[in-house]
Amino acid sequence: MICAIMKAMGLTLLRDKGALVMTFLLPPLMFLVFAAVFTGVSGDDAPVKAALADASGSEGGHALFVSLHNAPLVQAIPVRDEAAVRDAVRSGTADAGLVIVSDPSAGGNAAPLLILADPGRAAAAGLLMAHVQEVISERLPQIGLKRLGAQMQSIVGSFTPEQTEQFDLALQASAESAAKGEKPRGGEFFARETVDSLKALPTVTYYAGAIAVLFLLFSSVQGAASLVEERRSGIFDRIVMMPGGTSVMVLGKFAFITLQGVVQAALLFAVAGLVYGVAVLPHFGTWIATTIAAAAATASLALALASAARTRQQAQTLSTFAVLMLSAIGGSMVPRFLMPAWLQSAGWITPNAWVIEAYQASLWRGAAFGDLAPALFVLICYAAAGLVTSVVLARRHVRLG
Amino acid sequence: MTFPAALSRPAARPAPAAARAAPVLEMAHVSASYGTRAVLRDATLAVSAGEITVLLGPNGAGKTTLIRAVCGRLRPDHGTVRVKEHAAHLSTARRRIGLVPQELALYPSLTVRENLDIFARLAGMPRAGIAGRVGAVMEAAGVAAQANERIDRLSGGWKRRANIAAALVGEPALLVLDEPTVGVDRAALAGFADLLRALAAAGLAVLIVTHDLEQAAAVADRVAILVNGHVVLEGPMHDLVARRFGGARRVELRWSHPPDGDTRAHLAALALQSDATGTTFTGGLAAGTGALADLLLTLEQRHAMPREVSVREPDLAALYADVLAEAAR
Repeated sequence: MICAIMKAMGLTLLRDKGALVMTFLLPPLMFLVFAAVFTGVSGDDAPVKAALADASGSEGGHALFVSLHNAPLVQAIPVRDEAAVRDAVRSGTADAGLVIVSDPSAGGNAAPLLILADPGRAAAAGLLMAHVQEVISERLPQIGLKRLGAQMQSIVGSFTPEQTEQFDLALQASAESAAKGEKPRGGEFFARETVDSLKALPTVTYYAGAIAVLFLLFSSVQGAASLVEERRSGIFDRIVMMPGGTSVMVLGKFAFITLQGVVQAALLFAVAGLVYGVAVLPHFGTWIATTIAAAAATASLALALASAARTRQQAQTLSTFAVLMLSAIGGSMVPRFLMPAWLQSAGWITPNAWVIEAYQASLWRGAAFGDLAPALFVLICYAAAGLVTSVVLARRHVRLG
Repeated sequence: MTFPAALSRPAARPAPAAARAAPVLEMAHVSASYGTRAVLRDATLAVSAGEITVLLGPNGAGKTTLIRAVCGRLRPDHGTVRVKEHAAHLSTARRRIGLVPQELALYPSLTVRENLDIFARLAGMPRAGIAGRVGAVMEAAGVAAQANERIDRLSGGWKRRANIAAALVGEPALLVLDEPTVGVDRAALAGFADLLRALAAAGLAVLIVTHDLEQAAAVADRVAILVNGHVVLEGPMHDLVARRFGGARRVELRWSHPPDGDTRAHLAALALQSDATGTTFTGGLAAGTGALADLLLTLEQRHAMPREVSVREPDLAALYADVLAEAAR
């Protein structure tokens, strides 16, 4: 009897092209969009749109201005003066601004460069600072060296004529090697190396899980809405007269929506694996356990909401509210580590947080079943509670007096 | 229940049985209420195998509540409802009922055959027997030619037939139809009456709730009229009409303006009842006694001839109108 309900839902879905696209095509597409955002920008190579003004009137200031203007990661907006830089940042025309206040190669206590940032885009200021340092280090090393020399002399006294001559030669050599595109030699604090990895970016793995659970909720809600629709159409009245009654109806829908969710997640993770190397196959056991638990939890939650509603309108309002709230708090929209601590704690009441955590543990950290047990247990509890609630609420619609 | 081979063909109205078969549905002195509002009051009704009972009643009379009680979805405050001797709220009783809801209780994007196959499985039929049962039911309901058509692509009449077919797959003893002809065009109605009579002839007890008096008159063996939650009249349709009106003809007289006081008094003396506007008077006049001719002569002499006079044999519509008018008084 449960199979009969599943067959009815399956045939209905297969003949609804819009629902098919929404259920199976849209989730991988959404994932690709999010993944493209997070793989295209890995942090240190992020471009920044910066308003630039040279108020120094110096040769060093002009050289820095020109170099920044030509730097590939700085989308320079040259402006007249500091006020214009402030306006550009305030109006959002630029992400951040740089004013070359005085000769950057000259010594002295006052900072020759002023970074201006909007509080809403504080990260842009950090990026611009990093790009300026990179430009000075790689293209204008003589500026840094000259400023260092001036500061050294203010501490230890003036160079001797021989030292001055040596220093000038060093300045000239560094300017020439920079002009040839050679890396500066010596004096660097950091050497950087990228570790080769077959793993996808953690953000991509995160968003694979986040988008998966978001769409599991959406498609579950869509599938569960048939419960309300069938009450309106009389199919519910007909089925409750039959031996299985409401229990078979709810269980059949639960089984179908869960199966549909597993297929949906499989397609999304197949794309994630093929395009971004998210490691599904090496962790198939934990992945499938997580997927089934996630699909069951979202299916029963959606069925409970649909059973609670008396009309389709009510079901739609309830479901939209629930899906958006769970997804926002649970980390499907914004990574949870970016949230304040209290919101991260609150997130644990949502299935989204547990699903994302389980996928991260399985696919990124390679956790074993034992490590996933808490998340799987919570999701199974969700599924059981939702299912019992659905059956009880559906029975309420059978007996009216 | 098995269907005769040519069930979908028009069947003649069965001859009145000498004695009624044992009732499939027995509703005895049922009272039910929603909160403090009484909806059914001492309602009594019985439907036997092989007969069609039509339940009539104005809006708010309690018809839907009565159906819910029959289907075991409402437990009465008093009285009993039994289907094939099982209390209606038990699943053993519900399994013997084929419900045809007013709405099309079918999956719209599935074919007729797919729908019936699914409802047969839900009815708990053994897998091996489903195809045969679905085929027989489609033949019986006259939708075999539409077996592979999607429900949402069928016309109203075929949809209604498929709706009935879905109620038959579980081999019910009692078929309960709630406004089964909504959306069916006039041309298809005759075929519908034939179908329902054929189902009754095959041994089903049929209970129809409808507002369509013409359709009711075409199929009813028995009629029950529900007013304010009480079954005020129940019995074989022709007996009820004959008993109510005897040999009288239904007479209806219409004026443009209410007639004068003397004329009204004369009409009242003949038991002709006025409507709320005072321009239309209806009632029964004995046939073959010259009563109608005498009335018209009197009206002419009073210069109070009506604008319109109609005389007809009493029928179900007249019976229903008369019962409602009596209840309203």
